[in-house]
Order: sequence, then C-alpha cells, then structure tokens
Amino acid sequence: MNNINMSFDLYHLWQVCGGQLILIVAGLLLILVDIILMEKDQEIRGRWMGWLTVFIFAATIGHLACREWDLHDTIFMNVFSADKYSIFISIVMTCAGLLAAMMSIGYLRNNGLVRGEYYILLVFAVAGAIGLIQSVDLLMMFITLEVMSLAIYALAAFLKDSSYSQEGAFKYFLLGSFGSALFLFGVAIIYGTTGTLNITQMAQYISGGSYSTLPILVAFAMIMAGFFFKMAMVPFHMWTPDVYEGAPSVITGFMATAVKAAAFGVFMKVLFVGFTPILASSGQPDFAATVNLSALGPYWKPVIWWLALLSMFIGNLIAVSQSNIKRMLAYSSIAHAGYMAVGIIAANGEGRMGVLFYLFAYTLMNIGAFGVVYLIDGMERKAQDLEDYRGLGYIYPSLSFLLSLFLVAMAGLPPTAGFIAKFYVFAAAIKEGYFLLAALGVLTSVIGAYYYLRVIYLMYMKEKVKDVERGPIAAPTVVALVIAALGVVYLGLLPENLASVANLAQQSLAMIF
Amino acid sequence: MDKYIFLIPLFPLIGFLINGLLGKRFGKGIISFIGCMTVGFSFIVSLFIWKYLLSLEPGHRILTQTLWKWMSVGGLSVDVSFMIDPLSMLMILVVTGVGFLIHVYSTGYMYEDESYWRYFAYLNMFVFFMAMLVLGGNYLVMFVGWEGVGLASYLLIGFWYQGIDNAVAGKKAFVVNRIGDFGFVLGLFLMFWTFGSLSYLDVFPKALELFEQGSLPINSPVLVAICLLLFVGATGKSAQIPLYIWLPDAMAGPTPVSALIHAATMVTAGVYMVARTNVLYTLAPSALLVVASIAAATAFFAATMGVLQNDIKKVLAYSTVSQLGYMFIGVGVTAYWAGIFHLMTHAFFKACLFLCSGSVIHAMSGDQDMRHMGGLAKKMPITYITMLFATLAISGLPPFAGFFSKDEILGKAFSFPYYPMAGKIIWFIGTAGAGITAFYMFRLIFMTFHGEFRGTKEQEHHLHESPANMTVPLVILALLSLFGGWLGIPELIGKFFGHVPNILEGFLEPVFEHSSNIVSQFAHHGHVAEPVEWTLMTTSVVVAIIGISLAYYIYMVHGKELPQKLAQKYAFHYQVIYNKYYVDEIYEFLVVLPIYYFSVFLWKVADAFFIDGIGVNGPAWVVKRTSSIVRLVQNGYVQTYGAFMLVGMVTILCFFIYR
Amino acid sequence: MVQLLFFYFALVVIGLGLRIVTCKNPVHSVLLMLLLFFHMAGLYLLLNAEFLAAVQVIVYAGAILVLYLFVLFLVNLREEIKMSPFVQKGKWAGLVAALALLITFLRGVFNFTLGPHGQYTIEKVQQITHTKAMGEAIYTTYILPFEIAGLILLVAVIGGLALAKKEDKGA
Repeated sequence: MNNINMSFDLYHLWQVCGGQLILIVAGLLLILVDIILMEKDQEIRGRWMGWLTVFIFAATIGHLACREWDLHDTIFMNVFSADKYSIFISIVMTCAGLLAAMMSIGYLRNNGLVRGEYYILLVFAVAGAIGLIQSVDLLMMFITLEVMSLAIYALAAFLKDSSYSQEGAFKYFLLGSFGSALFLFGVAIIYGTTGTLNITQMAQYISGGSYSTLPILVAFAMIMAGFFFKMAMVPFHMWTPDVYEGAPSVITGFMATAVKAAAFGVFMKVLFVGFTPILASSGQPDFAATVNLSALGPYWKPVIWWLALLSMFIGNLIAVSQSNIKRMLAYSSIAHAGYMAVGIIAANGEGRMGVLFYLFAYTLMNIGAFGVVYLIDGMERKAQDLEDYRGLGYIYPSLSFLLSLFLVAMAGLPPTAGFIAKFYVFAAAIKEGYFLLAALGVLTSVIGAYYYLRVIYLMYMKEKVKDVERGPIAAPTVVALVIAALGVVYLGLLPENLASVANLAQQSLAMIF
Repeated sequence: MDKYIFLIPLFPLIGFLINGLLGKRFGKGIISFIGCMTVGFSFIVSLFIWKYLLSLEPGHRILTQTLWKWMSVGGLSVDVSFMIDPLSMLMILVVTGVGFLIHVYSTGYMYEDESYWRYFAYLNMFVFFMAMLVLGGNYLVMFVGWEGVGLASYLLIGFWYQGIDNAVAGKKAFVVNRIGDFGFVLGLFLMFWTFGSLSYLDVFPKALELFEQGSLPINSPVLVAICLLLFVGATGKSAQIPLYIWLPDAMAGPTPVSALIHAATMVTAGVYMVARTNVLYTLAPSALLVVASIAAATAFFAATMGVLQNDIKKVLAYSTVSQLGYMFIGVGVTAYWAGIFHLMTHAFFKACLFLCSGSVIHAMSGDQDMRHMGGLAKKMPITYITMLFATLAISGLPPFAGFFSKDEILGKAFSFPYYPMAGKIIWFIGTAGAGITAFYMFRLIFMTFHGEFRGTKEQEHHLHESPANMTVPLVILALLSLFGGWLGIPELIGKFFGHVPNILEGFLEPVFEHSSNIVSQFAHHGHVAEPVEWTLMTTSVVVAIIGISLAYYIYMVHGKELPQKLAQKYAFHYQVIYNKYYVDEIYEFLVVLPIYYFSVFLWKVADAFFIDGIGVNGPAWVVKRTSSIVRLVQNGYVQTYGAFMLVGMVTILCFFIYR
Repeated sequence: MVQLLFFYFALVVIGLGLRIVTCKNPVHSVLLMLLLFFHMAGLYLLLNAEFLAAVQVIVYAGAILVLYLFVLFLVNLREEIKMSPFVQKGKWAGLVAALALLITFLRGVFNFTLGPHGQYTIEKVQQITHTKAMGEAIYTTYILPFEIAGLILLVAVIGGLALAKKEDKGA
C-alpha cells in the first residue's frame, strides 16, 4: 500500500506518465497538422506526417529512457505506476512504433494510400499500449487495452481494397471484443470479491488468505484468457494467421511485436504483482502474510506449461506447410509466444529478464523481417508467396541478406539476438527444473529452423520462376532495417548490457507491489 | 602469447568480410590473395603459439583469452573466451594448415567459376567458425562455431545452386544437423543444470571433484544422459549412424569443399568434442559403450556402402563416414589420443584423396563416374602417385600414416578397459571394415588409373595434369600421409629404432591425464601382452593386403566381366547395398513425410476448419467475401475461432476448479 | 416484492437473450433487444442505481439501437442468409462447453463472499443518492480512466473515419 496518491496534480502526472502524455498530445496535434496539410500534395503530406511521427516516437523514447528510467523509486499516480519494468516495455513498444513509422513512410507511398489517419492511429496505439503497461488498476487496464486495440483494428483494416485486410480486421475485432469481454468479466468478479480494482491492493487481499478461492480462480482464469488472446497463445491464437496475413505488412510487424510486448508485459505484471506477487530483495516489512504469496502457483503454472508447449508445437508445425510468407511468420509468432511463456513459467528473475530480453530482440527481428517483406512485395500481396522468393538472393542481394539475418535470428541460431533470447528463457526454465518443457521447446525450434531456412534456401539456391519487382526503396526504411539488423547482431554478441537493464526492470516488478 | 589467440579466427573473419562485401569488384588475383593469405596468417600465428606452448611445462600447457563477458543468467556466466591446450593446438594446426593448402588448391580448381568471390568468402567464413569451434573456451562458444560451420557447409554444398540436387543436399545437411544440434543443446542445458557452468575449466574439475566426493558415481544417469545427448550432436555433425545420411549427398558441393569441410575438418568436430569432454565420458562408461558400438557399426556399414559406388566422390564420402567411425571407436574405447591421432592422419590422407579426385574430375571435365575413367595414370602421373600414397595410408599399410593411427585404435579397442568382451567384438568389426576399406579404395585406384580409358574421345583429348597451384598441395598432403603417422609410433615398433618416442601421445597426454587415471583406477587393466599386440598388428596388415589383392583380382585380372557376373549372381545383395540399404527412403517414409503431413493435417483440421475450397475456387471465394461486410462475417468461420477460445477458457476454468 | 420483481426481470432478460440470438429476422432481433434493455434498466433500478438505469435507456435503447436499425436498413437484408452449421457435430461440443461454463460459474456464485467495501457503502449511496455518488467517484478517484475513456471514442472516431471515408484517388 505504497504512496498511492489520490490527489490530482499535473506535475505528478507528467512525472509518472510523461511518455503517454507526449504521445497523446502529439497525436492530437497530428490531427491538426493533417488538417493544415490538407491542401498540400499527397507526397508532401505523407512525408510530413511520417517524419513528424518518427520524431514523436523518438522524443518519447528519449523521454522514457532519460527521464523516467532514472526514477529511483516506483511512484504511483492513482491508477498508473512508473517503474523500471513498465518503462522498459514502454521503450520496447515505442521502438516498435518508431521502426514501424519509419517503414510506413515508404510503405504507404508504395501502396498509394498516404493517409494522415494512419500515423495518428499509430501514435494512439502506442499511447494506449504504454498506458496499458503502466496501469496498476484493472479498470484502467481495460480502458487502455481498448484504446490500443481499437487503433490496431482500424490499422489492420487499412487496406481498403483488400478483402483479406477487411476480413482479417473484422475477425480480429469480433474475437478481440470477445477476449475483452472475458477479461472484463474477470475484472468484475475480482471487484466483487476483493472490493478493489488495484492489483497491489488485490494482491494484499489475496495473500491475506481471507478470500474465497473459487471466485478468485474463476476471475483469474478469465483474465488469463483475455490476455492469452492478445498474446496469441494456442488455443486463443486462431485469429493470428488471418489478421497477420491481411493487415498491411508494416502493421503486421508492429502488431506482432508491440501488441505482443504489451500483452506479455501486462500479463506478467498482473501475474507477478497481483496474483502471485514476488517480493523485493529487501522484503516488505509491513507485509506479514508471505505464506500465501505463491498459493496460486500450482494453478497457473500447469496451464501455462501446456499452453506454452502447444503454442510452440502447433505454431512451428503449422508454419511448415504455409506458402504465404506473412502467414508463415504469423504462425512463427505463435511459436515465439510459446517460447516467451517458457520464461514466465520459470517464475524467477532470470525468466522474467529473459522474457523482457526476448521481447526486445523479437521486436527488432520481426519488424525487420516484415520490413523486407513489404519491400519485396512492392504492392501488398504482389509477391508474398514463398515461391516468389526463389532466386531473389541474386537479384536483390542486400534485401535477401537482411531477411536471411532476421530469419536466422528467429530460428535462434548463434550469434544472433534470437539465440541469446531463447537461451535465457530456457536456461531460466531449466534452473527451476522444467527440463522436459525446455527439451520439447528445443525440439520445436528444430522444426522452426526448417521453415525459416527454407526461405533462405529458396532465395539462394533456387532459380527464379517469376519476375519479382520490388517497390522503390525509401531511405527511412533502409535506416530502420539497418538499425534492426545491427541490433540483432549487437544483441547477439554483447547481450550483457541489455540483459542487465532488463534485469533492473524485472527487479522493479517486486517494488510495485 | 595468449593475447594473440584471437588473431587466429580474426584473420579469416577479415577475409570473409572483405571478400564477401567487396569481392564482386575485385579481380580474381586479389580475391585469391586475400582468401589464402588470411588463412595462411592464421596458420603462422598458430605455429608461433605452438612454439610458445612447447616451451611451457607439459602440465601447464593451457592458454586462455577472454575477450568479453557474453552473458550471464541464473548464476551461469559465459564469456567469449578462447582456450588453447595441446588438443585444440593440434586441431587448429590441422584446420589452418590443411585449410591453407585447400585454399591454394581452390585458386586453381575454382578459377573459372563466376562466383569466385562468393566461394572464397564462404570458405573464409568456414575457417573462422571452425577456429571458433576449436578454440572456444566453453561449450557455448564451441556451439557458435558448431552452428557456424554448419551454415558455411550448407552454403557451400548448395554453392552451385543451379543443380536442384545440390540445393536439396544442402538443405538435407542442414536439417539433419539441426536434429543433431537438438541433442547437443539439450546436453549443454543438462550440463549447465548439473555443474552450473559451461566452461571447460570449470566443468571438468567440478565433475572430478564431485566424483571424488562420491556424489557423482561412475555411470550416474545424469552424466550418461549428458554424454549421450552430446553424442547425438556428434552423430549429426560427424555423420554417424543414424544421422550420416547427409554426408554422401553433401558431395554435391565443389570438391575442395568436400576435402576441407566434409573430410578434413568440420566432420571431425564431433570427435574433437567427445575428446574434449573426455573426463565426462570416462565417468560414464555406458555412454562410451554406445559411442563405440555405433562407431563400429558405422565404420563397417559405411565401408560396405562404399564398395559399389561408381561416383568417385561418393566412394570417398562413404569412406569418410567409415573413417569417422574409426575415430569414434578410438574415443569410445577411452583411447582418446588415438582417436585424435587418426583424426589428424585422416585429415592428411583424406584431404589428399579428395583433392586428387578433384584433379581427376577437373581433367575429366566434371565427369565423376569411375566407369568412364581408366588408365589415367599415364596422363596424370603426379595425381596418380599422390593418390596412391593416400590410398596406401587409408588402407593401413605400414609405414603410411593410416597404419599407425588405425592400428592404435584397433589395438586399444581390443583391450577396451571397461567392457573387454565388447572390445573384442568391436575390434573384429573394425578389422573387417579395414579390409573392406582396402578393397574399395584400391577398386577406386584400379578403376580410375589403370586399364583402358572408357570415356568419350572428347574427354580423352582433354585429359591433362593439373596446374602447379593444384599439384603442390597434393604433394605436400601426400608426404604428410606418409610421414604424418610417424608422430605416433607405438612403443612396440619404436624400440626397434632406438626408442623413438611416441611424440603425439606425449604431447596430448596432459589433456587426457584425468581420464587415464580414472580408467586405471576403475577398469580391468587393459594392457595386452606383446605377442598379442604383434598378432593384432599383423592381422590388420594381412586383412588390408587381402582386400587389396581381392580388388586386384576382380578389377585388374578379370577386368570387366567378373564384377558384372558377381552383381548378377548376388542380385539382391547388390541392389540392397547399391541403394545404400534404402536408408534414405526409410527416413523419408518414417520421418519426413509424417511431419509434413502432420503439419498439413493440423493446419487443415485445427486452423482452417472450413476453408478447404479456397485453393480450388479462390477467385470466387474472394469475390464472395468482398460483397459485403455482413456477409463476410456470416460466411467466415470466425465462430470456429471463437469456439476454440471458449473451449480453451472452459478447459482452464475446469482445471482451476477441479484440479 | 423486490424478490419477485428481480426474478421477473432476470428471467425475461435470459429468455429474451436466447430469443435474440435464435431469431432469424434481424429486425425482430433488434426490437427484442430494445425490450431486453428496458428489463436491464429495471434490474438496475432494483439496485438503487437510477443513474445507470437512465443511461441504459437513453444511450442503449435510445441511441445505439436506433443506429443498429439504420445499419440494418442500409444493408438491406431482404433475404435470409442461410448457411450450414460451422461444426457439424459441433452442437454437442458447444453444449458441453456451455454447460461446463455454466456449472463453474454457478459454483463460483455459490462460493461467493462479498469483499470489503470501499468508500461508498450502501448506506452512503442511499444517503447521497446514486447519481451524486457516481459523479463523485468518476470525477475524483476515476478521473484519469474517465479522461482516457474519452480517448477510446477519439480513436474509434478516427478509425471509423479512416475506414469509411471515400478514397480520394489521385489527389
């Protein structure tokens, strides 16, 4: 029951949720800019809006990394908390937004749909995601989740001429509402049982032991189901391939990374702050009932064990038989969700650190991969079949090389970030004795290597059958791709820096409580 | 001197970067110079380090260098570090030395290739990763190299990607290797779990310490599991049963690549790894028995498969698989140094054989079928003589290198300290395999270099000896095939020449010291009497001579008719062996197809419940969907998705409540 | 009396809910839903939540349903769309899942113990009236969520506009 400040004071608000404020205010300003530029040429308008968005995201990252990260303590603003954990994930998501915005400049131009709303929605999506991760209040979680989700639904449907995009977005919307409803119902039960929506107060109530287990369990299951939907864990994953295939490639990359990061981040927060709180190394003196802290462990651990296993197996296995590269990457993202869940199940510091690292690494390689996919595509859906990638290695050597790098990283081969990330989560799981899960996980990554490398194989070892004409390459896309590629290699060679930062972030999770 | 270890991998890396990034713009001269010299520099650095290493006390010959802290997780801290001890010293000398020769050879062999720069970039990349593998100071750095050489090999096998078979072979190599790596990674995880470290300098002392305390008894399950899992990795990389299938197909790559990667260096990584892990293996005798048994089976069966191949490189490929089997017999019967000894001599003579075959193929304008060759000895005297040297070496005739190393292995197998009876059987199988080896190698020599030329007129006209940059490496390797074995002259023979010491065993001894202590402590004392030793030695020589004579009888005296007659008489056996026991087909049927169809099944059944028709009437489907959003929703199968979510949630709920 | 009313409202809500999803004519569905919303409002009234009841009637019954009707008329669903069931044997599976869900919820309900009350106890709400209590809560404790809920609307509007707007081709 730390200093939860009930009063409203603007400075405090700025201190706690500066990142969100920047994004929201900037998003509102962008609307104005869009109106001002209305008369201008489409080309100029797109460039202005794009670069402004890039600048906004960069400024937000700067603010988060320099100002908020240095907060020495976890502070609260009623329903938001500013702690290193939230800031870390916020930075990951804003990075995803930044890379996506940079690529969007070229993407929108190639597809002839330069629209200001696109960037506005992107900014609000990230704002919602940051709000989600900063929430310590279940109601606030729901609201910010919806802000993020609505923006993403609209972005996923942005290709108006594509029935795939429309269909995917609509399915996403329907199922997303279903998932949100599950979550909301769980929240309602929590409120009825514990009388609070704040997860820290809820944790105190639960670990006090004076609760009726059953409603808490029902609520827990429903909240988990709601988050599993966003995390795309089997069997809540079925929307993923349709949506990822249909959505604009850059948005798919953004969805697969930022939304996943948000879902994983907030799920871990609810889990490790709310339901099975972890204690800071210093301990909480005023908190006596530590016995019940992990009472729920036997409930959620087997569930995640199975879901992680299913996600890894089903994701990887089905990806093998896919012929569309975006669909293949969609299934691969399901598998990656499974790998990350292995880190959660370890429920130790290393595991949480591993998940945070994984999220960052995955953001870089996945957005990178989708960036290349859109470039090779030219126009959306012109060249998305794996067959179209035949022989590209000699026609577009640098693009093919970048894609190979990202895919190799996703396959988890050293010395890339993907390998380190997988190593962290598996090592953490093994430390807790989940050897079987880790063994099966490594086995699935063997299957995974098969389909990732098949793309490389097609690019370098097959004759082309069809002329594939990539679209014009925009400079910001190149910069974004190079950043992502360098990041993937850098994190593979020198992961220690990020790992120690992630570790700090992970530790602050104990302090929220 | 330990400050300079990093230079060994650095030079090839630089070569890779320069050739890979800028090579397209360079002339062939510059590319060759960069490609060869970087490896040459590495070799020179290795020589200097070797000299320094020799100046140290034998017990202190360990150099380490830590570049940076790589990662730390859960009490495990892994550095990017290198370690040089006699074992890795020997390996790196072989890798860079033989590697350098093969680079030089490649300048001649690949000269007309369009993607010359790409070839050298890949080759340098390979040497870089191989150096990482060998020099790594912990298992994780070794794993980086392990994966990297796999990647390089994959790229080089598929180098001539225009041929569909080549690309498929490359993919096969990679996938099979990934299965092996699966075991390797699990072994590492289990090791980390057991010993809390992955560094050589931590794991082995820790294991010994636990062993002495009694908390890690001999043959403890976890240790056996670690060793077996690591061995699974070794079977993938070093082409042992059941994962050997990729190596013969890997011959689709350029011949120098086969010589460097698929004969001399990469495929021996598994042997190196087992020898490196000797302390753990010695503490897990049942794992050793598995290693030795699989190795013996591989040595024998691969040899039989080599007998009927007509592709000159395929013969050598199966012979490589077989010889790798011998190396594993060596390390499997705790004669670690003998395994490494054979690794070294094999690197010399097999590289020589491959390069010679490359020279032959070069002369035959790319034809690899031995049935078209014959009588080449006159046209290509240098190739012929060098190849004969290497063949004598692999057949195990004294005083060639193969004799000493193979004999050492078989002798040690005969006296396998842990399982004497199994040792005898392994010896028998190994000796029989050696006879077959002699037979098929001389079959190759007779079919290729003797008799009448059987190819086309055009080919005959074209026949020529290779240029100097190809023959000089051949001569050097042939000489090494002769003299290389003299580094490990057994005591038995050594005493006739005024007590010539066994240089190699003495050099490697510190690495395997602990193992031999444990063996002598726990096992039946395995030293065999001198007459027995003489008998064994004579037996293997006699068997080899029988094999050679048989080959002479069938392919020289009776020429064409006898082989065909035999083939007809034993048609069934001939078919089975000619088709390599149908192993590829069996795997395809039992492993590959089920996974693929399972994937399709899952996709169709679980995820695409109602979209069977899409592929058939796609356009109609799309039109139907675009018509209106309402329709789209109602015609879609979003309900199925929702149903799955609901079922998932209900399952979780039920688990929570009725747990 | 209150009990009786509660059971009336509750049963009608369940019955109408079932009818709405099984009804083949969409316009009928919407009209039945209107009825359902009124009964929901009745339930709120029983809970002393007159503000919620009013909002239910004004916003849901008044605004949202009219919107639904408009959309239905615009889409112009004359003929009924028939389709084969999604999962052939799925009815039974669905039934099992639904029953399992029902049972777990029922068990949850019977094990339900009310948690600690917050600031607004029943007595206090009755004393200062529900509308005022609601207003106080929204504008003090939940001011931030309230503000951010506005963002949802903004995003929804922008998204809707972006998707509905005619493409200005070649502009």
